[in-house]
Amino acid sequence: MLATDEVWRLQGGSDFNQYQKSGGSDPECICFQDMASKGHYGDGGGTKQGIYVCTPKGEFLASINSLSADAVAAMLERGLSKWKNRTIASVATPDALPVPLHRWEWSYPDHGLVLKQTSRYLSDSKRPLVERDNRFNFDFVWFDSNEAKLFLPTDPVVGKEFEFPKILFERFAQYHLIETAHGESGIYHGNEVAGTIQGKVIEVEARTLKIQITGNCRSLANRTKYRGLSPAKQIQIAIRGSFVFDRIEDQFDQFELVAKGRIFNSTQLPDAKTSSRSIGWHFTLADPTKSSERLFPTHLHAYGATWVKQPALPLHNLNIKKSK
Amino acid sequence: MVSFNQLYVTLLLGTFFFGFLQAEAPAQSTTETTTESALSAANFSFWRDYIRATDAELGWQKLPWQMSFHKGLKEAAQSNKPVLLWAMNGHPLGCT
Repeated sequence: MLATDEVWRLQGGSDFNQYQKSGGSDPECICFQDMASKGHYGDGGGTKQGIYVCTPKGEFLASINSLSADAVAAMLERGLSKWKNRTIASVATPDALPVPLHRWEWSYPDHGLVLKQTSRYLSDSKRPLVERDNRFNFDFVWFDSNEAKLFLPTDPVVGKEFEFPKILFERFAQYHLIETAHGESGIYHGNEVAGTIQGKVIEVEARTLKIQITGNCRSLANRTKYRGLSPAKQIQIAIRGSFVFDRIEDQFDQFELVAKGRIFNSTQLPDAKTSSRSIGWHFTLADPTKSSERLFPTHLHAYGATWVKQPALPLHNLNIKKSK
Repeated sequence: MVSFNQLYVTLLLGTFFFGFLQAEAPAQSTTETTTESALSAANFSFWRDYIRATDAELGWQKLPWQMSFHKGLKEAAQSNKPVLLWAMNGHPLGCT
Protein backbone atom coordinates (compact mmCIF):
# COMPACT_ATOMS: atom_id res chain seq x y z
CA MET A 1 0.00 0.00 0.00
CA LEU A 2 1.27 3.45 -0.88
CA ALA A 3 0.83 6.43 1.43
CA THR A 4 2.21 9.94 1.49
CA ASP A 5 2.09 12.56 4.21
CA GLU A 6 3.58 15.79 5.46
CA VAL A 7 6.21 14.96 8.06
CA TRP A 8 6.32 18.14 10.18
CA ARG A 9 2.96 17.40 11.79
CA LEU A 10 3.63 13.65 12.09
CA GLN A 11 6.94 14.20 13.86
CA GLY A 12 5.40 16.76 16.21
CA GLY A 13 7.42 19.76 15.06
CA SER A 14 11.16 19.97 15.42
CA ASP A 15 11.52 17.33 18.13
CA PHE A 16 9.00 14.63 18.97
CA ASN A 17 10.40 14.22 22.48
CA GLN A 18 9.49 17.84 23.15
CA TYR A 19 6.12 17.34 21.44
CA GLN A 20 5.25 14.51 23.77
CA LYS A 21 6.55 16.36 26.86
CA SER A 22 4.39 19.33 25.84
CA GLY A 23 1.27 17.16 25.87
CA GLY A 24 1.24 16.19 22.21
CA SER A 25 -0.82 13.01 22.02
CA ASP A 26 -2.25 12.64 18.52
CA PRO A 27 -2.32 8.83 18.04
CA GLU A 28 -1.37 9.09 14.35
CA CYS A 29 1.65 11.26 15.22
CA ILE A 30 2.72 9.07 18.16
CA CYS A 31 2.50 5.96 15.96
CA PHE A 32 4.71 7.61 13.34
CA GLN A 33 7.19 8.86 15.96
CA ASP A 34 7.52 5.39 17.48
CA MET A 35 8.19 3.95 14.03
CA ALA A 36 10.50 6.71 12.79
CA SER A 37 12.62 6.55 15.96
CA LYS A 38 13.79 3.13 14.70
CA GLY A 39 14.57 4.49 11.25
CA HIS A 40 17.38 6.24 9.45
CA TYR A 41 17.36 9.40 11.62
CA GLY A 42 16.93 7.67 14.99
CA ASP A 43 15.09 9.12 17.98
CA GLY A 44 16.70 12.56 18.24
CA GLY A 45 15.34 15.88 17.09
CA GLY A 46 15.33 17.17 13.55
CA THR A 47 13.47 16.05 10.48
CA LYS A 48 12.31 12.46 10.05
CA GLN A 49 11.50 12.87 6.38
CA GLY A 50 12.10 9.91 4.15
CA ILE A 51 10.63 6.71 2.77
CA TYR A 52 9.48 4.07 5.26
CA VAL A 53 8.17 0.53 5.02
CA CYS A 54 6.04 -0.54 7.97
CA THR A 55 3.38 -3.07 8.95
CA PRO A 56 -0.32 -2.17 9.05
CA LYS A 57 0.15 -1.61 12.79
CA GLY A 58 2.85 0.95 12.07
CA GLU A 59 5.72 -1.29 13.13
CA PHE A 60 9.04 -0.35 11.53
CA LEU A 61 10.46 -2.58 8.80
CA ALA A 62 12.92 -0.40 6.84
CA SER A 63 13.57 3.21 5.86
CA ILE A 64 15.83 5.59 3.99
CA ASN A 65 16.02 9.21 2.87
CA SER A 66 17.82 9.12 -0.43
CA LEU A 67 17.57 10.38 -3.98
CA SER A 68 19.39 7.27 -5.19
CA ALA A 69 16.94 4.97 -6.96
CA ASP A 70 19.20 1.97 -6.31
CA ALA A 71 19.39 2.73 -2.58
CA VAL A 72 15.60 3.11 -2.36
CA ALA A 73 15.07 -0.14 -4.25
CA ALA A 74 17.43 -1.95 -1.86
CA MET A 75 15.53 -0.54 1.12
CA LEU A 76 12.24 -1.75 -0.37
CA GLU A 77 13.70 -5.22 -0.73
CA ARG A 78 14.85 -5.19 2.91
CA GLY A 79 11.41 -4.10 4.05
CA LEU A 80 9.58 -6.72 2.01
CA SER A 81 11.98 -9.41 3.21
CA LYS A 82 11.28 -8.51 6.85
CA TRP A 83 7.56 -8.49 6.12
CA LYS A 84 7.66 -11.97 4.56
CA ASN A 85 9.80 -13.38 7.38
CA ARG A 86 7.91 -11.83 10.31
CA THR A 87 7.04 -14.31 13.05
CA ILE A 88 3.91 -12.60 14.41
CA ALA A 89 0.85 -11.41 12.56
CA SER A 90 1.06 -7.64 12.31
CA VAL A 91 -2.50 -6.89 11.36
CA ALA A 92 -4.36 -4.15 13.16
CA THR A 93 -8.07 -4.39 13.81
CA PRO A 94 -9.96 -1.30 12.63
CA ASP A 95 -10.57 -0.08 16.19
CA ALA A 96 -6.86 -0.34 16.98
CA LEU A 97 -5.75 2.00 14.18
CA PRO A 98 -4.20 5.31 15.31
CA VAL A 99 -6.93 7.81 14.41
CA PRO A 100 -5.73 11.43 14.11
CA LEU A 101 -7.11 14.12 16.42
CA HIS A 102 -6.50 16.91 13.91
CA ARG A 103 -5.64 17.19 10.27
CA TRP A 104 -5.45 20.41 8.28
CA GLU A 105 -7.46 18.81 5.44
CA TRP A 106 -10.48 18.86 7.74
CA SER A 107 -10.72 22.63 7.11
CA TYR A 108 -11.22 22.13 3.34
CA PRO A 109 -13.59 24.93 2.17
CA ASP A 110 -16.23 22.91 0.31
CA HIS A 111 -18.26 25.91 -0.84
CA GLY A 112 -15.36 28.30 -1.31
CA LEU A 113 -12.62 28.70 -3.89
CA VAL A 114 -9.74 26.21 -4.10
CA LEU A 115 -6.88 26.87 -6.51
CA LYS A 116 -4.07 24.60 -7.58
CA GLN A 117 -0.76 26.44 -7.63
CA THR A 118 2.28 25.48 -9.70
CA SER A 119 5.53 27.36 -9.28
CA ARG A 120 8.56 26.89 -11.49
CA TYR A 121 11.94 28.51 -11.87
CA LEU A 122 12.27 30.23 -15.23
CA SER A 123 15.33 29.55 -17.29
CA ASP A 124 17.42 32.63 -18.02
CA SER A 125 18.12 31.15 -21.43
CA LYS A 126 17.22 33.23 -24.46
CA ARG A 127 15.24 30.15 -25.50
CA PRO A 128 13.42 29.41 -22.21
CA LEU A 129 11.06 26.75 -23.50
CA VAL A 130 13.80 24.82 -25.26
CA GLU A 131 15.95 24.91 -22.12
CA ARG A 132 13.03 24.54 -19.70
CA ASP A 133 13.87 24.45 -15.99
CA ASN A 134 12.55 21.17 -14.56
CA ARG A 135 12.32 22.44 -10.96
CA PHE A 136 8.66 22.94 -10.11
CA ASN A 137 6.42 22.74 -7.10
CA PHE A 138 2.74 22.61 -6.13
CA ASP A 139 0.63 24.18 -3.47
CA PHE A 140 -3.08 24.90 -2.99
CA VAL A 141 -4.82 28.17 -2.17
CA TRP A 142 -7.95 28.09 -0.04
CA PHE A 143 -10.69 30.72 0.36
CA ASP A 144 -13.85 29.95 2.28
CA SER A 145 -17.24 30.93 0.82
CA ASN A 146 -17.26 34.37 2.45
CA GLU A 147 -13.74 35.15 1.21
CA ALA A 148 -14.56 33.88 -2.29
CA LYS A 149 -17.38 36.41 -2.58
CA LEU A 150 -14.83 39.20 -2.11
CA PHE A 151 -13.51 38.53 -5.64
CA LEU A 152 -16.75 39.93 -7.05
CA PRO A 153 -17.48 43.64 -7.51
CA THR A 154 -20.67 45.21 -6.30
CA ASP A 155 -22.97 46.33 -9.15
CA PRO A 156 -20.82 44.88 -11.96
CA VAL A 157 -20.89 46.76 -15.27
CA VAL A 158 -18.49 46.29 -18.16
CA GLY A 159 -15.41 48.40 -17.71
CA LYS A 160 -15.76 48.82 -13.95
CA GLU A 161 -12.42 48.65 -12.15
CA PHE A 162 -11.97 47.78 -8.50
CA GLU A 163 -9.26 46.79 -6.06
CA PHE A 164 -9.35 43.42 -4.36
CA PRO A 165 -9.67 43.58 -0.57
CA LYS A 166 -6.51 43.35 1.49
CA ILE A 167 -7.31 39.83 2.69
CA LEU A 168 -7.26 38.50 -0.90
CA PHE A 169 -4.03 40.35 -1.71
CA GLU A 170 -2.33 39.01 1.41
CA ARG A 171 -3.46 35.45 0.72
CA PHE A 172 -1.94 35.51 -2.77
CA ALA A 173 0.99 37.84 -2.26
CA GLN A 174 2.43 36.70 1.04
CA TYR A 175 1.40 33.07 1.49
CA HIS A 176 1.41 31.90 -2.13
CA LEU A 177 3.88 34.11 -4.00
CA ILE A 178 6.52 35.60 -1.70
CA GLU A 179 6.59 32.72 0.80
CA THR A 180 6.92 30.12 -1.96
CA ALA A 181 9.59 31.89 -3.99
CA HIS A 182 12.49 31.03 -1.77
CA GLY A 183 12.07 27.43 -0.61
CA GLU A 184 10.11 26.31 2.44
CA SER A 185 10.12 29.73 4.00
CA GLY A 186 7.26 31.04 6.14
CA ILE A 187 9.62 33.75 7.29
CA TYR A 188 8.35 37.04 5.86
CA HIS A 189 6.69 39.67 8.04
CA GLY A 190 3.45 41.16 6.76
CA ASN A 191 4.96 44.65 6.60
CA GLU A 192 7.67 43.37 4.24
CA VAL A 193 5.12 42.62 1.51
CA ALA A 194 3.41 45.39 -0.48
CA GLY A 195 1.38 45.80 -3.67
CA THR A 196 -2.16 45.61 -5.02
CA ILE A 197 -4.38 43.37 -7.14
CA GLN A 198 -7.07 44.97 -9.28
CA GLY A 199 -10.11 43.59 -11.07
CA LYS A 200 -11.84 44.86 -14.19
CA VAL A 201 -15.24 43.69 -15.40
CA ILE A 202 -14.86 42.34 -18.95
CA GLU A 203 -18.21 40.63 -19.59
CA VAL A 204 -21.57 40.71 -17.87
CA GLU A 205 -24.07 38.07 -18.94
CA ALA A 206 -27.31 37.01 -17.33
CA ARG A 207 -25.55 33.99 -15.87
CA THR A 208 -21.85 34.81 -15.78
CA LEU A 209 -19.33 37.52 -15.00
CA LYS A 210 -15.84 37.65 -16.49
CA ILE A 211 -13.26 39.56 -14.50
CA GLN A 212 -9.72 40.45 -15.59
CA ILE A 213 -7.04 40.48 -12.90
CA THR A 214 -3.84 42.53 -12.90
CA GLY A 215 -1.52 43.46 -10.09
CA ASN A 216 1.91 43.42 -8.58
CA CYS A 217 3.60 42.67 -5.32
CA ARG A 218 7.06 43.03 -3.91
CA SER A 219 8.96 42.12 -0.78
CA LEU A 220 11.83 43.94 0.83
CA ALA A 221 13.54 42.09 3.68
CA ASN A 222 16.98 43.21 4.78
CA ARG A 223 17.28 40.67 7.60
CA THR A 224 19.44 37.80 8.70
CA LYS A 225 18.34 34.22 9.22
CA TYR A 226 15.06 33.23 10.87
CA ARG A 227 14.33 29.55 11.63
CA GLY A 228 17.58 28.82 9.84
CA LEU A 229 16.43 30.48 6.61
CA SER A 230 17.38 33.80 5.07
CA PRO A 231 14.64 35.74 3.27
CA ALA A 232 15.46 36.91 -0.23
CA LYS A 233 16.46 40.57 -0.09
CA GLN A 234 13.91 41.58 -2.66
CA ILE A 235 11.25 39.91 -4.82
CA GLN A 236 9.29 41.75 -7.53
CA ILE A 237 6.24 40.08 -9.06
CA ALA A 238 3.75 40.93 -11.83
CA ILE A 239 0.29 39.31 -11.78
CA ARG A 240 -2.19 38.78 -14.61
CA GLY A 241 -5.22 36.59 -15.23
CA SER A 242 -9.00 36.29 -15.33
CA PHE A 243 -11.90 34.30 -13.97
CA VAL A 244 -15.49 33.49 -14.90
CA PHE A 245 -18.10 33.35 -12.14
CA ASP A 246 -21.46 31.61 -12.51
CA ARG A 247 -23.99 33.76 -10.68
CA ILE A 248 -26.72 31.11 -10.86
CA GLU A 249 -24.63 28.25 -9.50
CA ASP A 250 -22.71 30.65 -7.24
CA GLN A 251 -19.37 29.16 -8.23
CA PHE A 252 -16.21 29.87 -10.24
CA ASP A 253 -16.29 28.21 -13.68
CA GLN A 254 -12.79 29.26 -14.78
CA PHE A 255 -9.79 30.75 -13.05
CA GLU A 256 -6.41 31.32 -14.70
CA LEU A 257 -3.74 33.45 -13.08
CA VAL A 258 -0.06 33.77 -13.95
CA ALA A 259 2.54 35.58 -11.87
CA LYS A 260 6.11 36.21 -12.94
CA GLY A 261 8.76 37.34 -10.52
CA ARG A 262 12.42 38.11 -10.05
CA ILE A 263 14.27 37.27 -6.85
CA PHE A 264 17.14 39.61 -5.99
CA ASN A 265 19.90 39.25 -3.45
CA SER A 266 20.05 42.99 -2.94
CA THR A 267 17.77 45.67 -1.51
CA GLN A 268 19.29 48.32 -3.79
CA LEU A 269 18.52 48.00 -7.50
CA PRO A 270 19.97 47.97 -10.04
CA ASP A 271 22.86 46.05 -8.54
CA ALA A 272 25.03 44.32 -11.10
CA LYS A 273 27.21 42.67 -8.44
CA THR A 274 24.55 40.45 -6.90
CA SER A 275 22.77 37.49 -8.41
CA SER A 276 19.09 37.21 -9.27
CA ARG A 277 16.80 34.59 -10.79
CA SER A 278 13.28 34.36 -12.19
CA ILE A 279 10.31 32.34 -11.04
CA GLY A 280 6.75 31.90 -12.33
CA TRP A 281 3.46 30.78 -10.82
CA HIS A 282 0.23 29.48 -12.31
CA PHE A 283 -3.09 29.23 -10.47
CA THR A 284 -6.18 27.41 -11.72
CA LEU A 285 -9.25 25.69 -10.27
CA ALA A 286 -8.41 22.52 -8.33
CA ASP A 287 -10.41 19.37 -9.04
CA PRO A 288 -12.35 18.61 -5.83
CA THR A 289 -12.91 15.01 -6.94
CA LYS A 290 -9.16 14.27 -6.73
CA SER A 291 -7.91 13.65 -3.20
CA SER A 292 -4.47 14.88 -4.28
CA GLU A 293 -6.04 18.28 -5.07
CA ARG A 294 -7.64 18.55 -1.64
CA LEU A 295 -4.28 18.87 0.09
CA PHE A 296 -3.98 21.74 2.55
CA PRO A 297 -1.99 24.90 1.73
CA THR A 298 1.55 24.85 3.09
CA HIS A 299 1.02 28.05 5.08
CA LEU A 300 -2.61 27.39 6.07
CA HIS A 301 -1.65 27.61 9.76
CA ALA A 302 -0.63 31.24 9.16
CA TYR A 303 -3.72 32.35 7.18
CA GLY A 304 -5.22 33.87 10.34
CA ALA A 305 -8.68 32.69 9.20
CA THR A 306 -11.27 31.77 11.82
CA TRP A 307 -12.66 28.97 9.62
CA VAL A 308 -9.34 27.09 9.80
CA LYS A 309 -9.49 24.49 12.54
CA GLN A 310 -6.31 24.74 14.59
CA PRO A 311 -4.70 21.78 16.43
CA ALA A 312 -4.74 21.60 20.23
CA LEU A 313 -0.96 21.92 20.26
CA PRO A 314 0.26 24.53 17.69
CA LEU A 315 3.58 23.06 16.62
CA HIS A 316 4.93 26.32 15.25
CA ASN A 317 4.78 27.81 18.76
CA LEU A 318 6.94 25.10 20.32
CA ASN A 319 10.41 26.27 21.23
CA ILE A 320 12.94 24.82 18.85
CA LYS A 321 15.52 22.80 20.76
CA LYS A 322 17.36 20.07 18.96
CA SER A 323 18.30 16.99 20.96
CA LYS A 324 21.43 15.00 20.25
CA MET B 1 11.26 22.03 -5.54
CA VAL B 2 10.90 18.59 -7.10
CA SER B 3 14.31 17.66 -8.42
CA PHE B 4 15.14 15.35 -11.28
CA ASN B 5 16.43 12.76 -8.83
CA GLN B 6 13.21 12.91 -6.80
CA LEU B 7 11.23 12.34 -9.95
CA TYR B 8 13.50 9.45 -10.86
CA VAL B 9 13.01 7.79 -7.50
CA THR B 10 9.25 8.26 -7.81
CA LEU B 11 9.21 6.76 -11.26
CA LEU B 12 11.18 3.84 -9.90
CA LEU B 13 8.55 3.36 -7.19
CA GLY B 14 5.88 3.51 -9.87
CA THR B 15 7.47 0.92 -12.09
CA PHE B 16 8.20 -1.19 -9.02
CA PHE B 17 4.48 -1.48 -8.35
CA PHE B 18 2.93 -1.22 -11.78
CA GLY B 19 5.59 -1.54 -14.40
CA PHE B 20 4.05 1.05 -16.66
CA LEU B 21 4.46 4.76 -16.95
CA GLN B 22 4.49 6.72 -20.13
CA ALA B 23 6.54 9.83 -20.70
CA GLU B 24 5.73 12.71 -23.01
CA ALA B 25 7.94 15.46 -24.33
CA PRO B 26 7.04 19.01 -23.18
CA ALA B 27 5.05 21.07 -25.65
CA GLN B 28 7.12 23.28 -27.91
CA SER B 29 6.46 26.81 -29.03
CA THR B 30 7.83 29.14 -31.66
CA THR B 31 7.30 32.23 -29.53
CA GLU B 32 10.08 34.76 -29.16
CA THR B 33 9.31 35.26 -25.47
CA THR B 34 12.31 35.24 -23.12
CA THR B 35 12.52 35.35 -19.35
CA GLU B 36 13.18 39.08 -19.57
CA SER B 37 9.87 39.67 -21.36
CA ALA B 38 7.34 41.42 -19.14
CA LEU B 39 4.16 39.49 -18.39
CA SER B 40 1.49 40.64 -20.86
CA ALA B 41 -1.74 39.58 -22.55
CA ALA B 42 0.34 38.60 -25.58
CA ASN B 43 2.58 36.13 -23.73
CA PHE B 44 0.15 35.04 -20.99
CA SER B 45 -0.55 31.65 -22.55
CA PHE B 46 3.16 31.09 -23.19
CA TRP B 47 4.02 31.49 -19.51
CA ARG B 48 0.96 29.53 -18.39
CA ASP B 49 2.02 26.57 -20.53
CA TYR B 50 5.67 26.95 -19.53
CA ILE B 51 4.90 26.88 -15.81
CA ARG B 52 2.28 24.12 -15.76
CA ALA B 53 3.58 20.62 -15.24
CA THR B 54 3.56 18.30 -18.25
CA ASP B 55 2.05 14.81 -18.22
CA ALA B 56 5.57 13.39 -18.10
CA GLU B 57 6.31 15.40 -14.96
CA LEU B 58 3.09 14.16 -13.33
CA GLY B 59 3.77 10.45 -13.75
CA TRP B 60 4.15 10.03 -10.00
CA GLN B 61 0.55 11.19 -9.48
CA LYS B 62 -0.73 8.19 -11.42
CA LEU B 63 0.12 5.95 -8.46
CA PRO B 64 -2.79 5.25 -6.07
CA TRP B 65 -1.34 7.13 -3.10
CA GLN B 66 -3.30 7.37 0.11
CA MET B 67 -3.03 10.95 1.27
CA SER B 68 -2.19 10.31 4.92
CA PHE B 69 -0.31 7.87 7.14
CA HIS B 70 -3.58 6.95 8.85
CA LYS B 71 -5.33 6.13 5.56
CA GLY B 72 -2.34 4.07 4.44
CA LEU B 73 -2.44 2.00 7.64
CA LYS B 74 -6.19 1.55 7.27
CA GLU B 75 -5.94 0.29 3.72
CA ALA B 76 -3.01 -1.96 4.64
CA ALA B 77 -4.96 -3.48 7.53
CA GLN B 78 -7.86 -4.28 5.21
CA SER B 79 -5.60 -6.01 2.68
CA ASN B 80 -2.94 -7.39 5.04
CA LYS B 81 -0.09 -5.74 3.17
CA PRO B 82 2.82 -3.57 4.32
CA VAL B 83 2.81 0.20 3.88
CA LEU B 84 5.28 2.23 1.87
CA LEU B 85 5.11 5.70 3.44
CA TRP B 86 6.70 8.70 1.71
CA ALA B 87 6.83 11.51 4.31
CA MET B 88 8.55 14.80 3.56
CA ASN B 89 8.79 18.39 4.76
CA GLY B 90 5.77 19.55 2.80
CA HIS B 91 3.34 16.95 1.52
CA PRO B 92 5.03 15.01 -1.33
CA LEU B 93 1.96 15.42 -3.55
CA GLY B 94 1.71 19.10 -2.76
CA CYS B 95 4.51 21.35 -1.64
CA THR B 96 7.93 19.73 -1.21
